Amino acid sequence: MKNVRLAFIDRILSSYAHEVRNYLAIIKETNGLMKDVLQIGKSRSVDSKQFLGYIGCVEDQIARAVSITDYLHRFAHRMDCGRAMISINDIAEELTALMTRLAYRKRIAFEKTLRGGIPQIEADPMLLHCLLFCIIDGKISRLDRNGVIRVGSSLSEGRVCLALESKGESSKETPTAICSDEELNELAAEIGAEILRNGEETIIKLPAA
Amino acid sequence: MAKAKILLVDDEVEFASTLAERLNIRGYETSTVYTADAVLERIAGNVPDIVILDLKMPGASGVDILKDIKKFNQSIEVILLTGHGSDQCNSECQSGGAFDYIMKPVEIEGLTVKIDMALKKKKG
Repeated sequence: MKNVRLAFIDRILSSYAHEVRNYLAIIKETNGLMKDVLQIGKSRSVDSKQFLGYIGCVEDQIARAVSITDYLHRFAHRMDCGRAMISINDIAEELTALMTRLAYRKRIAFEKTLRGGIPQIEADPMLLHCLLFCIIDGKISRLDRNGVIRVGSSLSEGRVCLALESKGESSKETPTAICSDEELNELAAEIGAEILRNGEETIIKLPAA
Repeated sequence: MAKAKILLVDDEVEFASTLAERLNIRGYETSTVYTADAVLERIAGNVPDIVILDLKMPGASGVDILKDIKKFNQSIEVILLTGHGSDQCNSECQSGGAFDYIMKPVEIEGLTVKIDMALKKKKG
């Protein structure tokens, strides 16, 4: 199980780093282009509207980098405590943001339906994150290009539920999931969660606090 | 007259279009393609001297695209764009027949040096 946890952190960080590096690459090129227009493109007149467009592009990339860094920041801080009150919707938002790049490699999109007014749960954030990550990661690895993963939260019989469903063609490649079903069950048991599997849908049920 | 015809292949639209503009300012004729599927069609319609190819395209392997380009026209030189320089990247680059690779974010002067070296090789 230690390997699973390490692999989970590794993939989260790799996805985050890839995403931020892309934003930095765009900022660097846009900045370089502004410099080029001023220094090399002497035949071109400097158009303030064009420059405002470049500045807008840089601001947009900075905003995206800040947003994903905020998610990573919250994610990392949650790990500080062994047991905490957690909102399942916050966790779902955070994980899907941090996994965007992993999913995008296969052009897989997330569709979220997160219901309001769901009570918090009390759990070990590290284990809960790891469990949800491993389930989503497994679905990404089994899906072919252009698939969709639906993420939905709800409350059922006093228990908080998170449904994860994949839609699309199955991949012909060998799945690269980091965790087997047995290991997922083991993780779930550690946080008092129950996993229900129905075709391509996986439902995680957790006791409300 | 342009120094060379370049095709830039990267799914990051803002990155590719901006880098293309920077290369054009430096006297190259650069066009862009944002999906792996469109690469061969574009090359067939207008053969470039050099392709700058992102190694990690969504839903496709950059190495496979590289091999397809080389199969289509051996004389097209390919420079790979990668997020991390590694031994694996170096060997993928060599086994696929790429001229060289460059890391993202790109140092424009370093890229133009590699483009000019690739052109020299192409012209013999």
